[in-house]
Amino acid sequence: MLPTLSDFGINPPIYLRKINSRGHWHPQDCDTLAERASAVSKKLFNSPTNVYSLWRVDTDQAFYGVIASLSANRSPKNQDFDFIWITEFELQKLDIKVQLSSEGDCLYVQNMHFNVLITPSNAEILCFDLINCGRDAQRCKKKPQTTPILTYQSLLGCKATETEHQSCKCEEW
Amino acid sequence: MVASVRETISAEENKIELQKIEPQSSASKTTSADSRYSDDPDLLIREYFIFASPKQRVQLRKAIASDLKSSQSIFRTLKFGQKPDLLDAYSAAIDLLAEIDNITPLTEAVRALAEADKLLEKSNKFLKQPLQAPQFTALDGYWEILIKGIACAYKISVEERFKLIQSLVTSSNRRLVKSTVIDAFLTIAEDTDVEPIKEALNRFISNDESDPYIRSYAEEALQDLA
Repeated sequence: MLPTLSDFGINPPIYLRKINSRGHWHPQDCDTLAERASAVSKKLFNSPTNVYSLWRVDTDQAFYGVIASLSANRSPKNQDFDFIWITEFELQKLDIKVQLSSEGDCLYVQNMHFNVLITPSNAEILCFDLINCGRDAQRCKKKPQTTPILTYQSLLGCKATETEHQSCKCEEW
Repeated sequence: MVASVRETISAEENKIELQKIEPQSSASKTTSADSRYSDDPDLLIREYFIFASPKQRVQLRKAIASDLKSSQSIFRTLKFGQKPDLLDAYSAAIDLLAEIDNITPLTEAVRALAEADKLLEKSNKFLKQPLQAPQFTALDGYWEILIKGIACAYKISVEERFKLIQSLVTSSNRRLVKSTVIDAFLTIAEDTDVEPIKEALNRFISNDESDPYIRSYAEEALQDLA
């Protein structure tokens, strides 16, 4: 069965950011919230350019498209997919502006990708706010979730998957 | 050699002629340009991480992985995998290790990392905040990529992968290493009998495990296997 956004505690619309490991959200030996926020932000937001990739997700279908897009170049494709999610309000609070930047092979979500500039100090505040409100990193699990999503996307004809279809159903939507 | 690889990549993104960059071919070793490759066997690893796009990496992986025959090459891969200025380097490193067909260099890398881990832990006792030391953070990153790469290395028998991952259960006291080992067990669970995996995971929920996060993490993994 396909997962839904509510399975991950998500009330859309949100911005999704892929992370390398959900373990990074729970660093070792941090005694205070501030210490944890600092450690998490250094791990998750460490680009020297301060530019980060976010996907706007407003429906379950958009979530499937993002998973397909970000799995397209992996081997194997069906892996655990760890991510955090952020609301528009949480970005606005820090005056973080999103900039549309078309990305990936899934036609449905290609234009739902944004670049954002997040300074190290803003990243630390953002992580503090997210942890403080009880937000946890999520995992779209390989077997019960990622695999059915990729199969479903392939049946639709999604260009980000290995599909036999010439066109994707999403082009008719 | 380097120039020809770059030209091939940029000319036809989806039609990379892998035979031109195959380092093992006898013809390629006879050209003078290839002396650069002989001097630096990790040249292609750098090409993979620095110059190839995520799409191009997919096609380069198999050719490059076949040449990862030493623990030095593995460490080079782990090092690149941690570079925040390279796009998707972490995933690219795991995916490259996943194409390896020989357990030996991976085993050697595990042994070397375990020794480094023990040495750091001993020396780190003198620091005020021992577990936040930058050296440990770097070591965690190496462990993560290596363990995930081993779990995904589908050309190596699942028995060999299981044995190597099992040897890691007590190799480090680091939280991130333990959670990655648990993830690795789940990754290979699809290809093998889950009972030995459950047995291995039970260690993380026993009284031997002092970290409540890891106990909870392992419990969730056991539920996933049920």
